[in-house]
Amino acid sequence: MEMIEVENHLKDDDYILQNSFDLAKSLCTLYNNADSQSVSKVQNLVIRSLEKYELFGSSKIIIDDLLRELKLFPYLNSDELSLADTLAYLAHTTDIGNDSEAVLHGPQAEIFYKLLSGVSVVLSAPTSFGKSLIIDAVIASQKFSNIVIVVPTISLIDETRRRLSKFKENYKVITHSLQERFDKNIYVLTQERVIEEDFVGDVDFFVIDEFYKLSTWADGGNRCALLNEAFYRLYKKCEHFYMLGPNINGVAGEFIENVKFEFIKYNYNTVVTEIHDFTGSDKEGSLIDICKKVEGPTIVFSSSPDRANKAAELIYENIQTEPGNKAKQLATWVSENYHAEWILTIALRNGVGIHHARIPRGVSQYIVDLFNSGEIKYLVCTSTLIEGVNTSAKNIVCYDDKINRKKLDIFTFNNISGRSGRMFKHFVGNVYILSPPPVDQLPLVELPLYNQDENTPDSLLLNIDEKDLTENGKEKIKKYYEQDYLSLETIRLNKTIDPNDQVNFAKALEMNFQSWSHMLLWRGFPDYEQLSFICALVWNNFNGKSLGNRSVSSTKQLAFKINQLMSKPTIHDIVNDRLSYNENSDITSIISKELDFKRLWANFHFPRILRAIETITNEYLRKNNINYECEYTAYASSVENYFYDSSIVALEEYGLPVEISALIEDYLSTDGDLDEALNRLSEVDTSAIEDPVVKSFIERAAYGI
Amino acid sequence: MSHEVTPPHPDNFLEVRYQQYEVEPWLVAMCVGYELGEWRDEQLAEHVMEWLPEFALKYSEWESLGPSNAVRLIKKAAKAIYKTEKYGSRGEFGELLLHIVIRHVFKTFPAISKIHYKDSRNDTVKGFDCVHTIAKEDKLELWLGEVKFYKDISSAIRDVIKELDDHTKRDYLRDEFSAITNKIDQNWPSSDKLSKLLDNNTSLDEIFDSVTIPVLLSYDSDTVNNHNRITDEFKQDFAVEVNQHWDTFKNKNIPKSVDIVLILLPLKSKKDLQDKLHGELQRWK
Repeated sequence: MEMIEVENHLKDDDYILQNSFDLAKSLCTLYNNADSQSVSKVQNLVIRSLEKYELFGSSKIIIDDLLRELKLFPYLNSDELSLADTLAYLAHTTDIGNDSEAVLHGPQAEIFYKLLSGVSVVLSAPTSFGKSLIIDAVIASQKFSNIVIVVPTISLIDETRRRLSKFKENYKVITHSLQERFDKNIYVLTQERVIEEDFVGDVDFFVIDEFYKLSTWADGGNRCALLNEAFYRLYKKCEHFYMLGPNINGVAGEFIENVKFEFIKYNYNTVVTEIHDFTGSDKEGSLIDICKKVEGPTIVFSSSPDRANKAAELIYENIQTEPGNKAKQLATWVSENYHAEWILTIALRNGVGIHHARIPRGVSQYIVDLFNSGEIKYLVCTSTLIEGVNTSAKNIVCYDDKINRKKLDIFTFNNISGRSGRMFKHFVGNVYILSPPPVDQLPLVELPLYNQDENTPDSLLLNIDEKDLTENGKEKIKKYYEQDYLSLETIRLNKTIDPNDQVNFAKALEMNFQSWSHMLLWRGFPDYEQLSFICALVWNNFNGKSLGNRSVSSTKQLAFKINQLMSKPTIHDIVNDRLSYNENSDITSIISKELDFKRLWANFHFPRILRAIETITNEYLRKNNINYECEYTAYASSVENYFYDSSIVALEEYGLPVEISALIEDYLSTDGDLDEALNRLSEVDTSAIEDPVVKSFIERAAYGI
Repeated sequence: MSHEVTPPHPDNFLEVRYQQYEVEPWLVAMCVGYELGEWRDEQLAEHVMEWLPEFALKYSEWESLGPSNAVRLIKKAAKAIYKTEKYGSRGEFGELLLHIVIRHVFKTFPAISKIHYKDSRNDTVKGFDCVHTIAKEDKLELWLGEVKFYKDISSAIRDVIKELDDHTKRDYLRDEFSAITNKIDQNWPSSDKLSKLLDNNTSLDEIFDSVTIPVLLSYDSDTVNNHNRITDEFKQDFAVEVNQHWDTFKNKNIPKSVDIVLILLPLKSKKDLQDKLHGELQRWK
């Protein structure tokens, strides 16, 4: 029987029932004749037969033996194995912490023992491979005292620290520089946090999750530079690492010669992806048709938050689905704390979840939980969900084939498709495509850190030791060495700000100091005029117009909104305020902009640029012997923390929305002692809380602390 | 077979003390031997354990776990198994002994991981583990073993005959079957031929020139107990004893449709050997 015949028969329950032995035999024959290339296709067929396992009757033992042959040990039932296979099975079980064991499949075991033997590994393998489980096994081996795990997003920090909290008997899990370290630590950090001064001490093993983001093609601009720097700093501390990610063809460039590691690529799946082609048809209609007919949890991928909102609307307006009780309760809570007419409220009420950057972090994490536990059937998302959040979906609908306006590449497409299916739960995942899939080659990972060519950001080159610069790299940043406006020290200190912008600002400052001085020289909190002046500098000298998703449209508005934060308005207040001016305003768009403003401007851009302005101004003052030192830091962190105690906003990363922590602000305020705030959070007596949503938010956040 | 296709295994330890290939069924008797007057059960236990990786793992697994890890992990696994009810109640590794002896004496090779056949009468599917083959020029022999790790030879013979009978009644050789080849054997000269044969044929005896059932029986032996070193007298007693058991075996109603090899493994004390094996496992971390 040919492969395609077997595949078709495996979809036909009656056929399997009637011909189980022949079908199993055909699988064996295909396996016997497969070479190293085609064996993965046979593996897919064997996994398909797992979905129909019971139909195979007494031929099940043949499927079991094929699984053993393919080294898919996790799928074996250890009670029914021969002596030799039981030995092999047990040899593949390993401690993964908290007195629990996991069974590794062959390639997982290979990577694990390579790492334990001191080899650094760069692994490219599909989503369903189980790359992260290897991290748990490495930690459980107790070989390392200080482990750093770099993840690309704050949501992943939270997800990872939850998973790793099982090691808390032996390790302190640290996610934030506000925390103190113990003897043995697991740091779970984004690249930004890795390079915070003096925060991470000794390191004896480090991990970079989604390591392809080291390449400029994957994450252009500043974050890529920071990840390269994070790698650079960690590698100086420790040469033993594990980098993992999906769908890479290889690692290219100088990197290979400078750093010792093994690149391993596995096309080894533990679930199968079935592509259903709906290209060429009317997109909206297809989306509705597909969502109507699919069974099981379904993710709908869209290109942007706006598109996701539209897709959600299409689904709930056309398909009746009954959300679980917890989803309804969340809808009520969202309605009260944001707005009854916000699209998220309506979607949740109708059994549709939404996950994108314009949903508060804690709320979207909560929604993923609801989805994974079957409370809601549909989850509409953008690329923020795709980048590593663990979901349990049977189906993925690729509603769009873009991210923002950029066409999906094969890498991202595979990454999205890989989210369908789940070991033990959904052996076959479905991917519904509405546009033709990309056909380009899988990419190579290249590190600008080592390549040092025109794509390498100046900020990165400035932050690596001179001896590690190539001629090309030196040439590229010569201009900073040859100017007198600003010292390299200050430029380096402001890592996240483009060095060019910094130098230009220093230049402008020198020219205009006389007229600027009375506006710039302040300590503590600025008055409104000083704030307006600072906002103008941010806007004009640091490219404010392009920042913050355009959630602020002028320098005046920026000053107004930053100032308004001080009175701690709720989103609910802001919406009502806007409606009182114009009752036809679009509520969803008001909330989106407000959330963008808080997350991007208040929590990120404004404070970092303000700190840069402070350091540059102070350097000027020192250089010109002016006996004054500006002090913006207190204000910067107040804005960053929306004028709450810093623990309140830090707890947002643990999944606790500010709306909830603000309810117990006094109790949680610890003057920036996050460990103490976490401690207090874990001691909250949740049995006394009436609102079920508040209760589960707090319990969820306290998990693993 | 070279180490390129299977994990390495130790050098031979057991000796063929007596053999008869002129008779039906063949008789082969293995001897453990003495050292300084003591029967070598302790050394045998060690030797058996050293075979575990080759017995349980594919070469690619051996390689990817790394030799030292592989040994450590398999030992850990063996220890864990020993404690389980399934193997613990039997308390032995008879299958492993059989594997060792046929690999050693007959140079068999585990070219096929599993054979399954469909019992046409009640439509159930059953399987053989640890299937060995021997390639001889153009021919392939299939070896499907039986083992009884017993202390009493009469019971061993009685029980194994019953199983051999069952086999013959089922006539699995003519049943529909399916096989999974051991993919590590691409260096094995006959691997291509084997896959092709398995692809097209429907009954085992069309594919294999002969199907052989090696029957390994262990027992507490008077001869082993009455001596403390290998002397001519020992050898004589040994020959007499194993011939006697061969006679008993032969006179039972053994199936004629397949070749049978009777392999006898006389022990000083099955229980002592079992305790030694147990001790070996206990010493491992």
